[in-house]
Amino acid sequence: MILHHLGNALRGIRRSPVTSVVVVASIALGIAVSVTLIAFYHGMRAEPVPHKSAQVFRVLLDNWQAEKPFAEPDLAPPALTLRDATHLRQAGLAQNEVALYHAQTFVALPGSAGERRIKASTRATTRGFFGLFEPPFRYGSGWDQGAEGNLERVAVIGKTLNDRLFGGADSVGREIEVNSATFRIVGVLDQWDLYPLFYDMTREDLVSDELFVPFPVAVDSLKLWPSFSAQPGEPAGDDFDTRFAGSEAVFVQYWVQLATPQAREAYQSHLNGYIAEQKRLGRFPRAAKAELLAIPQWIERQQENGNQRVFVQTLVVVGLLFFGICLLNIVTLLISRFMGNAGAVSVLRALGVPRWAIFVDHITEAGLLGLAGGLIGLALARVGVALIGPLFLGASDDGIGGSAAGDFGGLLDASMIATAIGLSLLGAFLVALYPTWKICRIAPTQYLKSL
Amino acid sequence: MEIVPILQTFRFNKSSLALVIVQLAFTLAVLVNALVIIDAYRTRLDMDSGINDRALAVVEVEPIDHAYFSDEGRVRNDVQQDLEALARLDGVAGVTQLSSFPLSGEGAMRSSWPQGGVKEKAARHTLYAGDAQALSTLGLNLVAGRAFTAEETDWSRNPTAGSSAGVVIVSRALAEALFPGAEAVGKQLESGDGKVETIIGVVDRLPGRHVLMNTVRLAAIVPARPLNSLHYAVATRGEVTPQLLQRIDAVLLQRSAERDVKVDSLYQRKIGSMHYLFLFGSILGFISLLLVLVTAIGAYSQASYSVAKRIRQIGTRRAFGASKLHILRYFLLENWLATSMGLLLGLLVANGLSFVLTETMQLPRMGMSQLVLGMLFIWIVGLLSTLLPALRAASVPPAIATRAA
Amino acid sequence: MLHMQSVTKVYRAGDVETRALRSIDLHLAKGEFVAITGPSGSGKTTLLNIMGLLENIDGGTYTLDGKDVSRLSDGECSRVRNEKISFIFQSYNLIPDLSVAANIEAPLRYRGYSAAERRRRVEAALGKVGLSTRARHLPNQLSGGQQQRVAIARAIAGSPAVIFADEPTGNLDTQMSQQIMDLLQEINREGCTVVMVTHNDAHVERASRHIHILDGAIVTPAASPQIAAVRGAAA
Ligand SMILES: Nc1ncnc2c1ncn2[C@@H]1O[C@H](COP(=O)(O)OP(=O)(O)OP(=O)(O)O)[C@@H](O)[C@H]1O
Ligand SMILES: [Mg+2]
Repeated sequence: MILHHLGNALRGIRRSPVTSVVVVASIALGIAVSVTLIAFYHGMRAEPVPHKSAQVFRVLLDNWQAEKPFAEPDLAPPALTLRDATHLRQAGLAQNEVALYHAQTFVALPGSAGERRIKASTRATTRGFFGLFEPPFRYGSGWDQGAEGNLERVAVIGKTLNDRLFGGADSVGREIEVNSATFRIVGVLDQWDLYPLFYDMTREDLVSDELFVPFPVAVDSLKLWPSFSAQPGEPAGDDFDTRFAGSEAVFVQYWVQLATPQAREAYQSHLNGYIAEQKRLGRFPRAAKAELLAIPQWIERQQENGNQRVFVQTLVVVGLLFFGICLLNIVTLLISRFMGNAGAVSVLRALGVPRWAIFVDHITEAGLLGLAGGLIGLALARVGVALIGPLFLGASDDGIGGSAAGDFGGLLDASMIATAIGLSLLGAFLVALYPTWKICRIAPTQYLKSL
Repeated sequence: MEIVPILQTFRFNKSSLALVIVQLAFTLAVLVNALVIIDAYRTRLDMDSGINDRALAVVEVEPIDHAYFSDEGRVRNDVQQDLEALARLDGVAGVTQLSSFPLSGEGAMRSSWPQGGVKEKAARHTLYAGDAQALSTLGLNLVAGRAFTAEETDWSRNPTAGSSAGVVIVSRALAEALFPGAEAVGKQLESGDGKVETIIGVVDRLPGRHVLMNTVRLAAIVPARPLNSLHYAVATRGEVTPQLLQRIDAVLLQRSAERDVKVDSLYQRKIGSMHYLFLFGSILGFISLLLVLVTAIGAYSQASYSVAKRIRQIGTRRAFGASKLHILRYFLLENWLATSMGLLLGLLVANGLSFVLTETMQLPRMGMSQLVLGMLFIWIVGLLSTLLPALRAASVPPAIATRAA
Repeated sequence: MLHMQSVTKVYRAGDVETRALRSIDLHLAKGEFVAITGPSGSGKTTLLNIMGLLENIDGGTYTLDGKDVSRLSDGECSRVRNEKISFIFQSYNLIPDLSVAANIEAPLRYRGYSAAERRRRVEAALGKVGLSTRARHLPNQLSGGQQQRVAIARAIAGSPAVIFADEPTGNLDTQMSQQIMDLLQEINREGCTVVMVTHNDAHVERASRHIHILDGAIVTPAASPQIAAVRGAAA
């Protein structure tokens, strides 16, 4: 029975190949444009480590001055002071705790003095990062506890930097110069495209990191200046230590993994207790505020008022409108196409074919056209994403890292493919409804005369 | 003309007419707003801001080690040597050290108000710090008062806080915003934390940090030489050339490789600062071209359908003496009327979309010229895409009237 | 007023050639009421189309109202049709989405009449066919006979010199057919030449002249026993 209807639908498609092509092309165009734009929106809100969404939290403590909040309405700063981060790490109450910040460094192979160095988007982080956020490793792994404790100069590099410096070869064990210090490579990542860079989100234009160095090394010996920092009032000083070490300047981004609600509650009360204790020491002048934000909440908070968000949202609306217009366009086409078959339908009806069978035939025909349009549209969206992607994120810094290296294929994940196919089928059915209703209304003998 | 009878027949094709109208309305709305954005981008790009951004190179030197800036002596020494090296280059007319560059998209902002005045009347403006060469290098035109002296420009780790001299030069627009109708030179300016500066000069125009800001004409400059950044503006003889940029890059790297050099023409920077507008304009422009294409296909299929349905009627009209031209005109007119109805609704939708975009993205409102351009374009595309079916209609033989059953 | 000399018409559909008219010689005077009969496929409609300038002739000459119309361009044909010729069709051919009045008005537009003149003529024509009250109706709100009367009104509204009617009563019952024939006769009496294809012998009776076509050629009544019989009955 299903095969029978499919056969009828296919015959219908073959009967008017030109309109079929136009209908498919219209749906394909509409899907291509709308899905490309939706993909960016989807990507902006994607959950990077979905199986840990409920366990990973950003820690925020409000150390701002009493007079005004860090940001309206009464938001805590997005990072911690070095001393608070250190205290939390020493307490070590969470299953996994990661302190990190972003910096720009200049990288070269040893012995290439005097040549222009490669500017690299750099992540100073504690080793828990690799276990918590699970970046894909191509060679080697993250550094171990001992290396971090001993302030060893070890590094993990990204795929792009590895390609640039070592032509993509296994560079584990090789050395690189980061600013003026020599680091040993212990791991190389595979392509790891994150849009946005959810674990940072202090700047809209950051996309991927190409160099990972141990947090203690960055803070204690390299004194890597953070890309994002802020302090209540005037900066404490101009050199790294006075400015960042003992001051109220926030720059350390802090993540914890808390597997159970109980653990979360315990950690929350630990934070509350910590603020109370610090208040006694004269810090934290504002009303006590310690927050644990899950990744989606964190992304939402940082994007809420961002330009990019509004921008992409507007584009999504425009894209859907475009799809809608493509669909409107098809309605007339389908009417003329179905009504062109009115004579045959009227004979079929006269011969006793029930109305619902006619309905199923025509709606199946529309569904097939929609499916074809959806698949072609998806292929076009793949091109669209690759074309717009670089433009989209190309606003950021020069150098490598900082802007995306991939071709954004990752944006079209399973859920986007489902969206594309769902949208095209839904669209096709919607637009076919009226024309199909029209053809189903044909009386058995109405068109017999004109045969 | 057969306007009335055509309108009468519209009553029998309400649904397809409604589809066409809605489709055209949205097409017009998106097209016009794409035009608005593209227009905004183009006018901002070509806007005469008061400085010649094509004859100005901007240089940002980034030391590899941020600790570099703790050694004040070294910074001073490097700045002086950098500026000297740059000034010696062929094709360079002047150099200056600035805290940030006009129109580059980056830089400090602050609110200032007349001393003793109400803080609520403050004007928000861009603030630069620069040395005594700043005015001449940027090509600013002093219309009142005087320029900075070398003595006033101190070295500073917090340059936009100004120098101990407590003086400031403002753009004419800022002067007028703060002291409407009065002489600004000699007036005192307050800017938070009790800081007070005396206006010693007014320049004709000094653009702010971002060309898309409403307050792009409001800017001030205080005398100070930054100790926390190495930013140089280089005025060139004639437009900035890639060769010159290369030479600037080379000469600065040659002085020391322990740093990164980024050099652009200011014009290029301005383009970079409008990246989002460019992107939005391009995407919207591309989408509206696709929309017009889709609409053209729609108009074509609509007209084809309407012709196919009326073969007999066309034959009858021909039999009663309608010429081919009459038939052609009939179908073109029918399309034109439907298109015009769509465009009429489109006026409303375009206005609505423009309102939303103005509110959410701080874009300029749609203007008459973009509206007219968009409508003309859609009219023409509509007529062109109906032409083929209409010609087909015109070639229907009159004998159809007696032949078709 | 209408002269045809050795007019031929050949249809070519692919390799097949149909000689629809072979050497027609025909002369009609002003004010005649001509009935054309003949078996199906004999070329009646073709002759009517040729006379009505809906199709071009392939051979011979054709003069209408003293003007040679054998080789007119499409545009010139349209103008002559618009000014001198009207049609009535078996299936009415009213425009379904125009009102009765608008249907009658449509051909007048191509003549460039003013709106007032058009309205006057529409009213007059509607009055003549007795449908003044139905001006605002749509064709599908009328009976077949009424629709054909509207078609007649459309045909006479432009005061044509000649009206061609192809089986105008073919779709109507006897009573309706009578009404239509009465109307045509009245129009003819007022000076308009009428050429009508019909299968109905009773209608042939009403004509002032009878032309019979067989296989694309006009045959004399004597050569056709059928027509002789009709003549006899009339006598
Ligand atoms: N467009 C055409 N192409 C090819 N042949 C045609 C065409 N029109 C008519 N003919 C042929 O010309 C001949 C005359 O046709 P015509 O329509 O004049 O007949 P008719 O006398 O009006 O018949 P009927 O009484 O059935 O209406 C027929 O053989 C027909 O098949
Ligand atoms: Mg016939």
